[in-house]
Amino acid sequence: MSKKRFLGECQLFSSLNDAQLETVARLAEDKAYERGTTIFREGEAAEDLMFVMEGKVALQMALLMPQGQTSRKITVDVVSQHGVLGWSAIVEPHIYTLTGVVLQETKMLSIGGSKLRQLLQHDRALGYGVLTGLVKVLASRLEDTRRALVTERLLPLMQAEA
Amino acid sequence: MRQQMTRIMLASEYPEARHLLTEMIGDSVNGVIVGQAENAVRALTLARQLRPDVAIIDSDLPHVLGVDAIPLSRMGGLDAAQAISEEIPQIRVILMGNMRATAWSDRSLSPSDVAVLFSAQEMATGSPLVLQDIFQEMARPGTLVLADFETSTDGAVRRKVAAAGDKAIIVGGLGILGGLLVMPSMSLGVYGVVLASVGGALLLLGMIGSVAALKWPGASRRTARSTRD
Repeated sequence: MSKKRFLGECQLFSSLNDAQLETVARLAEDKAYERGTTIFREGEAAEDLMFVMEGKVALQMALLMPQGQTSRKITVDVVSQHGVLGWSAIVEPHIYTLTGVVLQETKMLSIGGSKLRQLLQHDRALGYGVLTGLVKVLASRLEDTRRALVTERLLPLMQAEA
Repeated sequence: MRQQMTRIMLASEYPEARHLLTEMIGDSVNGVIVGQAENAVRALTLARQLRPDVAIIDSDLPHVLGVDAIPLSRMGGLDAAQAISEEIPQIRVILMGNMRATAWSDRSLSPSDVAVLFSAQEMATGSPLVLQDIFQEMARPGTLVLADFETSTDGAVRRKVAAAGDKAIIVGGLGILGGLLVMPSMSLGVYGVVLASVGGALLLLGMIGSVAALKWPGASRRTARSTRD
């Protein structure tokens, strides 16, 4: 499958037309990661926007344990085919908010954050299309997170009533 | 001097997956299953209580039971594996990536059909390994490796032969039945004989195929009943 076609199937770029997709696809590079690899860490500079072509990547957040003990990592999402990683590369302050760990052999398309930001600033129509897609991605993740939070909070109450 | 048995803990929501691993361990490793967990919270609790030598954890493990329909609540495997590996470094932790898919893919899967291929940044390998090799490789404390099941080539051929045999038996039986029904007819009797003969030949071939699959070297065919805990 061509890069342009694959990117067109990703939610982030779902609003773009053919010419816009072609422009973005020229920036994309193929990358491959073995399982167990940490692709990026929470707090690092967000340099690349990535799209999973094959495989799975876990996104983890570090939580400081009580009494200042070492932090524990919690998986907050698992990204698979067509999923986007590192959207912080196009949103300030351009710092990764989560850590990405490869769960299965993964192939990705990677787009340099600075090059993409320049493109979005230069081509306002393209920029609007990408940000529209970004809002959809974030809204979807927020919905998933809320559902998980509500269900996990409800579960002890349901078990207490039983 | 009697070799000490390796104490192993399993964590997967799926009884089929735990059963497959139990059979694999029984076939290839001098190990004993000391505990089984269905979710991440239980896995961490058991690891603290039992202090196994090895913990094999399904990456698709829920944090707690009862939230099966919520994808975000099913991501406890990596968290549990990392927590156990960091908190109790003497436990060697294996995180399995495709436990559920492998256990459910084929009810006739035999433990001898399945190898475990693992890689970690320090221990990348391209060769399928049995669990025994992994246990020997993971000598360093605080080790966490990610692994996948892989079905062996021999196993894939055996399963194809078994599947073809089953289909031939069904088609052959239907052919014999159809032939017997048609035979009494004056005009179609010859066709009935041919149909029944072909059906009989298929039935015979199917039975040979099924027996061959059963007798395949290393095979131990599981029935659906045996997958239940």
